[in-house]
Amino acid sequence: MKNSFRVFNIIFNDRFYMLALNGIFQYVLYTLFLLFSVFFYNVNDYLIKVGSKVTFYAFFKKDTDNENIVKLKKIIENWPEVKSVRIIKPEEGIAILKKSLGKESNILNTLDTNPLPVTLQINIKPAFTEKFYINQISDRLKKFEIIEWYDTTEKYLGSIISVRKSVTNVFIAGIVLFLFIIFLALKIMSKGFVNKYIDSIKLLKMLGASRAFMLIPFIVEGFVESLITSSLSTATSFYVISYLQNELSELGFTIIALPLEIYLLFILLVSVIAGISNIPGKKLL
Amino acid sequence: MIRFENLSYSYPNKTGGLRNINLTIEKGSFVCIYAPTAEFKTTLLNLIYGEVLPSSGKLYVLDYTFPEDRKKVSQLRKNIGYAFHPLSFFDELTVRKNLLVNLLIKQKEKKLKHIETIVDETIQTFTKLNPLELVKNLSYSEKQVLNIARALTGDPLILLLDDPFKHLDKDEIDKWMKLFIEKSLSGITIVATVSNPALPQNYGIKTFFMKKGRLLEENEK
Repeated sequence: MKNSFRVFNIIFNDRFYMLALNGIFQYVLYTLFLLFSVFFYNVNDYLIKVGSKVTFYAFFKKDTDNENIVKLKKIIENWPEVKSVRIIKPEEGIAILKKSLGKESNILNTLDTNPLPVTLQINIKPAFTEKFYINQISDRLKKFEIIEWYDTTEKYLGSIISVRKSVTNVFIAGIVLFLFIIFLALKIMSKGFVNKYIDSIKLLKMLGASRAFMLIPFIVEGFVESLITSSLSTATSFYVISYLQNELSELGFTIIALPLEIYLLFILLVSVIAGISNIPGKKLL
Repeated sequence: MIRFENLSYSYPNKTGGLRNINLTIEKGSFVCIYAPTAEFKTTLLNLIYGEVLPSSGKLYVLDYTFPEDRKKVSQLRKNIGYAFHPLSFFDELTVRKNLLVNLLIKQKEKKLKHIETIVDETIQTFTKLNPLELVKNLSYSEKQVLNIARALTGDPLILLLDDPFKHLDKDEIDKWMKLFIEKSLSGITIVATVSNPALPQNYGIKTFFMKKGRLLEENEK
């Protein structure tokens, strides 16, 4: 095996500039891919969080006394589907409304009295966000006479699910396309290499070099090079994520990195692909 | 050591070829094959080297049988030194590196220092070449000498020489012939093709003649 690498280094001694170019190309490609993955991962994570959160807002009739409101809150808290219940007083309700309206909240200042009733914010457990449970909860809420009307965020779930599906499809297509581009790009480079050294490879074969003797250095070199560049890309993507986290934390955004296993799998996968695609023209060997 | 058994070979897109060759070459023999050009004498050597496979019949070389052992060609080649014709080298490398590559392929020895010593001794013993000279700068006859020296490195059991004396002067040819005879006496089997039938006969070496794809002995000509 040692002799195989010695011969490889003697014959292909002027390949280093190609190796360097290849390394830079891989580094850029891998880094872009990882950042692309982090972006999609965060979008997906956000959609999961939003999609698994269903809240009911139950608005009480104007003359409902506080005792009945507290009583009903306790009843609803005991429902198995309910995660938490909170009473929103009219003053708090108007404050929330003002915040959500932003600059346009001035319109609320023209009101003489607060029109908002006392409201119950009922948060549903993620396991009970399906249509069946939502209908059950709605039916139960309808039976309470002190509730004027209610609303739920469930109606947005359908569109969130369809957006999530599209995001996932785009992400999968992106991964497939990326792997294909890597394989193709490395293959083209390797073909260029073969064209340059075709006579040397033929002579090596004539001198008695076996297939393994010639192939192993190519595979190992492709694997190791990709291992280094993908590790560097991973480090770069971590750096970019931490930079964005610092920059965006003030705006209330949190960016999360991919799970460590994904990074390890990525490094291993691209290294193996690079090793295989570095085989110079199977037919020639 | 080498045995051709009813062997025929025809090129896929060419007419002619080798026809029904039967020949046994014992260990330590030195045989020459003469033929005018285009009589497939290189093909005969390429068959022994496993470069081409018999179209029919059998070929036994050392412990290998062809065409059955086609996948073991690289193992066979570790035991064969072949002076190719036309000459083929890594032209951008030095004389020393050309021999080093050949030996690194053929030897199982892992210590580079030891391999380099063998290479240096080979250059010193068999050639007058500058080890650091690039092969592309050598003359044809210098390349021819390097070609033979390369075939001799790595302690081959069989030596195949394809027209090895082309463009060499008389003294040089004499030196090499004596060396080959010495090598064959030490047990190396040598098969050489020549373009001058008188040359091997002058040294008492058994010569075969190729005619229309058939291998003939002196008395069958």
